[in-house]
Amino acid sequence: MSFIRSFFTACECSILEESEHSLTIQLTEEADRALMNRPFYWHYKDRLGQAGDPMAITFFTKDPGRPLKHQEEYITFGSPRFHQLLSYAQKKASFVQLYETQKTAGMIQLDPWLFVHFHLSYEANGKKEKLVPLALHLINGAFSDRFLEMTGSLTLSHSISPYHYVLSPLITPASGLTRLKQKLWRDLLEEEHVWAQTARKKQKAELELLQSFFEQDEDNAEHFEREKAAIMRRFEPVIRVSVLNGGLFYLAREK
Amino acid sequence: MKPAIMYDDTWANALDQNLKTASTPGGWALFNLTAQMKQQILPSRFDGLLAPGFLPHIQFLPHQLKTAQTVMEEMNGTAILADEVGLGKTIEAGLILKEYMLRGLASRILILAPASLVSQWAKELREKFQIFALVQRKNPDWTWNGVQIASIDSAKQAKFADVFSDTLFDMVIIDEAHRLKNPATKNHQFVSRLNKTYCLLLTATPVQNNADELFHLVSLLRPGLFGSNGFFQSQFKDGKRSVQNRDAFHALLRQVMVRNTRTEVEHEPIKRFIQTIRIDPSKEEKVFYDSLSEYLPASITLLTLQREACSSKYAALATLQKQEGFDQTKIAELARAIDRNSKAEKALEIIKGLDEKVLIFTQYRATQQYLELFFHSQQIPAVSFQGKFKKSKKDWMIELFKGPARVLIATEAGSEGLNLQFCRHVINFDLPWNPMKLEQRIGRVHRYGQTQNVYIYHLAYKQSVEDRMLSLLYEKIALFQTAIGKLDSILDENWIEDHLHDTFHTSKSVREWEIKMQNLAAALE
Repeated sequence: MSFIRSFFTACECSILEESEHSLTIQLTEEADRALMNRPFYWHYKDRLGQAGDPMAITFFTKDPGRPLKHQEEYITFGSPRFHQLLSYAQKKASFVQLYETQKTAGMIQLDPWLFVHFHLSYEANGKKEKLVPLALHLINGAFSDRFLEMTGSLTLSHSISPYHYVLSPLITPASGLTRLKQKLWRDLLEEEHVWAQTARKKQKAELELLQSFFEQDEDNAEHFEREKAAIMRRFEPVIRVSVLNGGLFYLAREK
Repeated sequence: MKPAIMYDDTWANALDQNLKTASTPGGWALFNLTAQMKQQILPSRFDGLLAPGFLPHIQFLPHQLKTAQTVMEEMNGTAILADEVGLGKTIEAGLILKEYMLRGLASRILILAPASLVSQWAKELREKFQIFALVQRKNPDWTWNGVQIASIDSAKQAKFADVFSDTLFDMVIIDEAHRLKNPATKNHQFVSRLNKTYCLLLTATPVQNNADELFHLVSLLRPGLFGSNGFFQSQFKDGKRSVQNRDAFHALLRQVMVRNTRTEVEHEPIKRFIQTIRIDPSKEEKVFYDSLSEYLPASITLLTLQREACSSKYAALATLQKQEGFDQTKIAELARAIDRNSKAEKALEIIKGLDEKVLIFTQYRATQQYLELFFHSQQIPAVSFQGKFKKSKKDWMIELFKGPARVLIATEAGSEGLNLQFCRHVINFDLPWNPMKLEQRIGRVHRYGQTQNVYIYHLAYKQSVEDRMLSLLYEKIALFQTAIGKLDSILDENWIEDHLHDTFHTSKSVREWEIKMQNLAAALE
């Protein structure tokens, strides 16, 4: 529920009505185009040069116990709609640029930081994922892994406020990202990857079974290769790294 | 050895461009929201199931959750799901599929089911698991990048062989997989050639005691689990079908197969109470029934006609009226003299005595129509259901039955695959000649999801052909009291069904049929 509210508030949609288990939202045109999947309607309006009429929609977070009407939806954690909203949020805010605003009088100097959420996926005969937040000071090159706690209490704005000025980064964002990546690599290599060793062991055992099945049977080389490839895919340990989102932050130096 | 690390530089590549564009007001909120939500939905551990948390509207049974977990954690997504009928194999498969999709381990999925179950699969996946699958029909597009459902017969056609050899499926699920037990068949070869990472085989037929069949099924999933064919033959085979070294064999089997049985799963299994109600026909009905032999049309056996008359006069008339000049015959007059249906009155009595939903089965469309009118005249809201209805109408009828209607009158044809667990009373207005059909009827309510005992009422006229069918077929074979597990093996024996069909349709008299049935019963015992 709080996710839906924060999501639509952040997307500048207004909340028309709210009860314990439902939320009625007036979509903006942008949100309607992106989320409601009615390209023909918008195409038609665009052609006519008319302004469209964005939908209002009601989300139920608990099954209302009656058949749903038009423009009503039951949304659950992890449902396709939920994922759609999430991936929209991710795309829309995959990169941010923010400036701290302080209330104190006088000129305020802001330092540049590069901050990213790394998304790590450990894959073998199973999968686990985690997010690793990591920040780099783009002047002195210092890392911070508690950047979010640092920014939690601050007022951040998408444009720079009066009497605030920024220091130009000495490290470009691109090379900053490379440094963050290298730092992550070092940390990963230090981890004990028991899961990967277990997976390799299992993979080896499976391959031995497979060999025993095809012993001296050369007619079935193709079949053997196919099964072998399947075992390799099923157990081969790998860590995939991507960036979920990140941004350039200008923050006042801590006193 | 350390695992390989692979880096996706999409974000890095877009960085330059992003730096030039101004950010939007809601950005920071969405930025945090994304990270928080992602944190909540990502699989933070290798083990444990995520899927149930995402599907709060479904109450999974403990054995289903345990099965899904075992398949994921111990069998690495390659398993035979061999639960007994009615324990929810499809649910288990759906749960495993959902889990692999949520974890991002599977996205291109192929589900192969018998043609008649394809739509049902799509519906279950959509309604229960919020998985939206493409149903492949006449012109299949096998390059589809998501979940697709097809019948094995349409997929195995030679013209698609190239597409399949170039396509990699993350997961392949095969329903009714006992059809793959023979490696000489096209089905088996087709599945064996599929490129797949994970694979689930679903079968209700207990195959665990036929060594060869199991060997071939297992070889589809994990070739080599039982060693090579030669090794298997010498180690585990005993005679033609049996297994030796049972313990070792079953230990291996447990690595790849899950089989839950009713007795293990249900602490208090749902009981089935069967009541046979023998009814005295009214005088008019009796006269009508007895005179049928005199007016027998050439193409119909007396047996057929009598059974129709046992259902309702309308069912018999539907056949009789096809003859020219029927209206002038005496039998037509006798039919007109019947002003009530004793069975319908009994059914009404049962329904009135219950404050619950009742499912009525008949084999005849004419009876179905009559009953619907009859119940309406008695102010009992009733709806019909039959195979000819369009899908939307079928769905609507079921919705009505769930809602305002008290009674659903169904013909067999449409009832396959229906799930009516919310109802627990079944009236068999007339009886099919094949007891397995009866089992399917009862299966509509006595199935996974039923929480209360089930009550079955057989209606039969005294001293009619049905009466004999009852004593012979149903009581003698004692089919209902037989454990479902045992029934499995009977259901699988196609020859019984063929035999029943022949017996019924070729017999000229009830007596002849009775003798044939007794022979069958003897053979079964």
